[in-house]
Amino acid sequence: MTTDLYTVISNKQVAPSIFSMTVKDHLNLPVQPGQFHMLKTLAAEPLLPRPLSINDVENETLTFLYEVKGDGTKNLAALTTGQQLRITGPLGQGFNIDGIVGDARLPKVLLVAGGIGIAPFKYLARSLKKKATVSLAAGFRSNPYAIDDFKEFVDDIKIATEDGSYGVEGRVTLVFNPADFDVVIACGPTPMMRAVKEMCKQAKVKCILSMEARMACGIGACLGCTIRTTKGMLRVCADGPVFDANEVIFND
Amino acid sequence: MTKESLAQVPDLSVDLCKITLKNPVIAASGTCGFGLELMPFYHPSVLGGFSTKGLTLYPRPGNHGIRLHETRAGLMNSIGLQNPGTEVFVKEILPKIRGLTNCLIANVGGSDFDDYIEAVEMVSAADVDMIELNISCPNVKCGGMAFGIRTQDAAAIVKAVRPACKKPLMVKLSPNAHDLVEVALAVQDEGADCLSLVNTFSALAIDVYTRKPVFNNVTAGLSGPAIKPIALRMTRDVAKAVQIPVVGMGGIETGIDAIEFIMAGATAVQVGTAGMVQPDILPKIIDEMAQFMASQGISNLMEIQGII
Repeated sequence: MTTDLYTVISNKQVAPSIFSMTVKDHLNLPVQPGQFHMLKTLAAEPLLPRPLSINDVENETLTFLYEVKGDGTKNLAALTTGQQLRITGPLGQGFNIDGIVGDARLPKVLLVAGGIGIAPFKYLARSLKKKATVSLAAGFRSNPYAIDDFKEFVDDIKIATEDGSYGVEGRVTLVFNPADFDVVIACGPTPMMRAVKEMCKQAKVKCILSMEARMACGIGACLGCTIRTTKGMLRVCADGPVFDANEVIFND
Repeated sequence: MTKESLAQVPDLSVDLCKITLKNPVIAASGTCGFGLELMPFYHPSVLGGFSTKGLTLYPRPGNHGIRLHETRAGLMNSIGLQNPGTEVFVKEILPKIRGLTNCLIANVGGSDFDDYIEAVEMVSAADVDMIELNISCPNVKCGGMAFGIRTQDAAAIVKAVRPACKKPLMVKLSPNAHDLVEVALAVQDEGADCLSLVNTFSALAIDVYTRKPVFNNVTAGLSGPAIKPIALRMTRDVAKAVQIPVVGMGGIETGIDAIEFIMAGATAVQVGTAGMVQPDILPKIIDEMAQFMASQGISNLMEIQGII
């Protein structure tokens, strides 16, 4: 991991509030799927960089898919081709491809995405190609996005929208049965993660979660992003963001 | 760099309680873990020193709920002293980090006198260079106030731990003290070897949609550039009043900020929040201090220390 200035190659809106930014990966550091970077424009405010999972790594570029939620992501969305920003990374423990695939021949892997939780799955799906049979179940509030990215890597795509504008109307948990898979990997809002963990537990299927948290340092130093786990308070930034679902304790 | 400018490389070294720091920039407690987290970005030996995550006698899980909240030019935190305890520190962590710096400062806190004394005794007997006594963490014996708020509490805790402390004792003061200069003088009288200030400012953030405080503990500590002018004024107030060295901190982001603290009377500085914004900022701050000194013909920081 390192911290350096990177140059924007493209930064475009792909759906309402959803942007895809590609930067030149001049350092070409090895990146695991599921790892993240801390991104900050050269503006003084807001103070802290924003943690964004890696969406894709290809041809000496890094791509981040992100939702504009506050001032930090608003600044990122305003960047144009050729501008510079500070990126620190790659950070955290990503998806363990060997652990996911295990000894099985082409195990059946399901990726469950809630909203912008789809971001880390493109690079994961690319990394699992030819090693696993990958399906995607993606839930959105309304318009789906980034789905076309998956066509070359996954065998099956199921979509749910809360307003019924596309696919099945309702939550993403309606469109899959964990018992059909060897491993389920989820990334999305906390209620979805809690539900997916519970479904997998009932079905006795291995479940892996990519967690999100407010962060300050991103490098494991400040202990600001910890979550409750069976191993105590663990840092999402350095011990995660990828955790075995059995370890994660959801509050309430 | 030309030969001429090489000849004028300024001397950033400072003496702090008979320890020579190669430069006055120390990574602040709670923002650099145990030093190992910095390794991907720079070797901690380039710093004047670093102060560990706050240690308590017994392991603490830290606070639940939101621990961080960003504000204009600032960061509020309520980590709750999550740490593995002094025994794990001494036996398992210290051997791994001892070689990272020649000024290893162990930050020690507690919740009552006995905890403080035992923790300081254990850690100061180990191979650390200095103890930084945190007297701004919650204290049940004083009705939820902090040891650093009232002068008599601050004096009492320093008096209690001083005999147990086998290393130079730096006392980290709270800007929330009722009378900071009075606390500083009392702590000096009880045997502190130096002071560090300021810790975070007690602050409040409200989520108007849930109609609740952002933090479970209601208040949290504010750090970052927002506090710098106040921290600078407090550093000067205290440095003018005491005879022992003062380590200044609060919102330092640049070498120029650090120079301001030196001019305000600090012997050294600590940097916290800025290092979380950009993990390699501390070596840059050191470089900027050297550049400033070279550009101004300052060969030694003592020339400008406390000139304001």
